[in-house]
Amino acid sequence: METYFTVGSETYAEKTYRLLGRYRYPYRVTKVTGTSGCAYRFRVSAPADEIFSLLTAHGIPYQRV
Amino acid sequence: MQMPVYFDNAATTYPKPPAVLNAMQQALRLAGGNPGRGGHVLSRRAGTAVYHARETAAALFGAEPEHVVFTQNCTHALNLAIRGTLRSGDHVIISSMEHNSVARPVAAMAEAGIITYSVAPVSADDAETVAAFRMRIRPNTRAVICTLASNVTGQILPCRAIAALCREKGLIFIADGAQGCGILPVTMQDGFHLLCTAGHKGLYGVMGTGMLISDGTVPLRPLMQGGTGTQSASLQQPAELPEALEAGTVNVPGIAALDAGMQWLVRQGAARIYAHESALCDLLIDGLRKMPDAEIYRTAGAKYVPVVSFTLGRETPDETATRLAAAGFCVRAGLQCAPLAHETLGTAHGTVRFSPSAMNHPQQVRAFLRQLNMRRV
Repeated sequence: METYFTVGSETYAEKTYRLLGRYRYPYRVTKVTGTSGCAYRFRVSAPADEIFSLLTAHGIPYQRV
Repeated sequence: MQMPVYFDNAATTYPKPPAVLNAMQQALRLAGGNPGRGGHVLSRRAGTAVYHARETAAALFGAEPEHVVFTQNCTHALNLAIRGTLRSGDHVIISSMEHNSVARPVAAMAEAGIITYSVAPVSADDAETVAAFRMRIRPNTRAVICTLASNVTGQILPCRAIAALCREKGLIFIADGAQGCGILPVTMQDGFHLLCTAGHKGLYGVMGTGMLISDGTVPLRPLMQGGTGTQSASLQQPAELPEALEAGTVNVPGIAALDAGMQWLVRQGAARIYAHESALCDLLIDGLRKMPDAEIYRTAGAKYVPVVSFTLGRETPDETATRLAAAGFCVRAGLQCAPLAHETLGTAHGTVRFSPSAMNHPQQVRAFLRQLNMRRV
């Protein structure tokens, strides 16, 4: 089960790495250029509702992919 | 080369801890990419170093990492806070002990007809000081700007009580932490909306660094617009902190050094350093009291950070500092960029300011006192 999302801000991307690491979610991240400019694209091996709840709870602005 | 004895730490701390020098060098050697600008390893390392510094600052000051904005210095942070929050028609209250980093932007906005301001006199009695702020509040008062401690005398202002007053009246409280951060146990839980600090003073980082720390509740207009590495397709500056206020490339080596400085401070213990520096100030004050014409600018009942301002009889502060410099001692003489404070103190020609750091020791203070006494020979 894979969840994909992007984070636009590098600061929030760093916050996301730490958060996913703390909860031991396996993830990969790549820097991509999308329609709104550069962003960090995350692929997390976990259910979407679980991940998006976590991001929301920690105030991380993200976009579903 | 014999190194001078440095007692000008209120201007910038020197020497820096070895960990600070190492961190700066490591950042230049190993994290040489531009943070947030690339997906490659050097950019990522730089980004990680910057975020780590945000985390360290956030832990130290009780904030969220994303609410830590890196700036060039405390003046830059204060300008961001002052110009970023005040609007046309606003009234602001500042203290009589403010540095020009507060007084000048406020005066410039007032001269331009944008705002009005009042100056609240600082007393040795904290309740009196808070009352002075309270009585100057007007219906259009939007913010209070106050230093945590005077850069001239070291007097600690009752910022927690002033913050409580601001919360009670719905005012924004902007604190100038240049002389307090790293020295006093200051956190955002004290009630600040915006806390501005230098990175190179009590936090033992390097010059060219500062921070604006927000509680996340006050919207700030940026002073500059530019690249942030994010939302690049938009011509609008991103709204989120910290990128909203960090246009252009940040000072990665400086930020890494600041991170190391803050970590060093935590390891040493700010309270322990405070006690050490205060003991050095007490030693100086004891010596000065034995000089009949020495005037020490401290008032009974007031509390002080480790800074001592003094003058010696007819010798001007410049003459004293020049004499000390010739003997290898570094102090700051003059107005210390705080004319409002000197107006309050009645020291038109300024003072000599002695400000030790964790790196100084009592023998240096005794040698300093001997040099001060030599003027009589």
